[in-house]
Amino acid sequence: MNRTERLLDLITYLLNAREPVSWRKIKNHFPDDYARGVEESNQRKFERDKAELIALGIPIDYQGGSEGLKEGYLIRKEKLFLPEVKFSPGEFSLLMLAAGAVMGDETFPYRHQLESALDKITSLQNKIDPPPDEIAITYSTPKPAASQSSLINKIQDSLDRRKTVTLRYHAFSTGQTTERDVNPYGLIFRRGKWTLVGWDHLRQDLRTFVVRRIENVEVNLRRPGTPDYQIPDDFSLRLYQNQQPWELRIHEPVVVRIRVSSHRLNELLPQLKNAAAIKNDVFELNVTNRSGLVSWILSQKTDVQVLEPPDMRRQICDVLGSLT
Amino acid sequence: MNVTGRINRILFILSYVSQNQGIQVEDLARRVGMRPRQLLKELEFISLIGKPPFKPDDYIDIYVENQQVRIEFDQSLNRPIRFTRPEAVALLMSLELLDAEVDPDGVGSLKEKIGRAISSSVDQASQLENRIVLERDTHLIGDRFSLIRNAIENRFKLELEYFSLMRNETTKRKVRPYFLMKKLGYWYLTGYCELRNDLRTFKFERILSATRLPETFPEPEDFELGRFKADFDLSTGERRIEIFFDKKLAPWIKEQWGTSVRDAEDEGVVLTVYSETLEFPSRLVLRSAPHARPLSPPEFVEKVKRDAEEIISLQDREV
Repeated sequence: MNRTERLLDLITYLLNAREPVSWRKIKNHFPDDYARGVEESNQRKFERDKAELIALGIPIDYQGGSEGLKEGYLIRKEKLFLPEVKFSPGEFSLLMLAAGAVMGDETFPYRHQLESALDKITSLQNKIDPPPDEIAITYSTPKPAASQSSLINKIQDSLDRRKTVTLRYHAFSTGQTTERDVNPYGLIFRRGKWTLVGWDHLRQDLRTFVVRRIENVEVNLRRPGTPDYQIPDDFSLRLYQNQQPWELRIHEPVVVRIRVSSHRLNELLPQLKNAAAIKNDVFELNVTNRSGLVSWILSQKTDVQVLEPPDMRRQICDVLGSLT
Repeated sequence: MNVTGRINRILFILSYVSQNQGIQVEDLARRVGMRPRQLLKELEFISLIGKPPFKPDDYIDIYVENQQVRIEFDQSLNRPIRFTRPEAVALLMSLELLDAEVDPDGVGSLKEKIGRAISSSVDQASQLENRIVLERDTHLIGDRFSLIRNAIENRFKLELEYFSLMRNETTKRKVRPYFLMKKLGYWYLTGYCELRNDLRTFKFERILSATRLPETFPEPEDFELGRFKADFDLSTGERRIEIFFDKKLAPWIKEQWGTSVRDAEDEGVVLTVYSETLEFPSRLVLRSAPHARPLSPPEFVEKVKRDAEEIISLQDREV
């Protein structure tokens, strides 16, 4: 039986069951699929199917037997679909703009789900309002590498199921390509680039990986239905969002005071979100990567002046020595 | 189409047909994005779902009569067409990326509607939406966005005070606003600039002020939106500029600039860019110092030197 057929049969079977269905009964019902050869590989196959259905939004739960309850698998019908949502024509047009921009980028995870959500919306809409044509949005760089979308999909899958991945990663800072086990904690999309944040088994610490520099991803195949790790409650992906070059943790913090030209304030303020504003145009930064800050200041030319400390000013002048 | 997509489509067909009994094959095909012949094959497949020992009405009986599709089956699979949780999360993520300024009321109410639906169900994927963060820069585009959008729709000219990074100067100009575009996290306005007598693109965050003028302008005849969108990425300048980067920066430069980069001595690379002004390439060299140096043309080498001296004199100054 092919996979699509088996999954659909599994859905109808569990939906029609009046009580939780045991693994033994499932095997009896699908003898060719789950009761052939080695028991362990049958279980793995079922776990993979179950994971696929959960990803599809079909919640298969396992109910443990206690207090007279029957043990087994079940689909809780009330959890199968969300409450109905209705959209006005204006909202629909806006959704098309938002979703259309995402669909234009092949690297986005959840693209398939977005596509099926849009199918549902369009099929129910009597009048289709196109997105506003004086606005265009694109998120990606013109040509993301073809392999990117499959890497992202694998990472998304491992995130959903909390499975460890083995990455082959090319680090620019060292020039080395290494293989390492990582527990993915989250993905960040920024300026058309994806970054993976995760726990690096080798370094025993949190690390970020630019997805474009990942050469290969293998998701742990063992025990597909059981998570390999937990994401700590105090982990916040948002801390990694908007991280500025001088905020990378390279050395102990140094406090640097800068002045920004008034005509650049509006543009540069978002990058100074973590800085303390001393005056309207004077800011104090907590710097843990000096060379990152030097590079940023130089690209602003004379629009950012270092006030403190003096050795930071000297460093800037030294760096420029080669150009004068 | 992958397995997930196909199952999703099949579940959709089941619900849709049972609520629209007798729908024309062609109509259904259009709604699910298939050719009629493909759809008929899919319906045949659906009729095989379910396996013994089911009671007869556990089978899904889907059939076509006079080009009309009908279905009879156990009602457990039939429910109003609604989003699954991953679908709602996907929608929410796409809205997350859309700046609220595009339509302050609309974006807010959409997010609330979908968010409410999601929070009413709790399942194992409940934390899904916190695992992927899509950056939306908090650039201050608020009032300006609706002012400019309104001017585009009603063809009012604008007076912009604009800091041009390319020329490193601030100017005031009259602009006929045509089009808004967001690219890699930044908003741009494209329009006809009456100062330069040509099409120009303005980065939102460098617009220091924008005022709507009472004058209107006619619909642009020479502006082809489609072609403009496609050409947006092409660099515009005529002047060929070459920059050397040493081996420390080479991997980043290669990653970002791709085919414009060629290998050079000592594992370094040479980047070739075409630019209208020398301003942007100069900033690129300055930012990369001491791992970059300008190669050609001579006036570019001179410009970088002058810029570097200016920065040194600013940072050297007593504060």
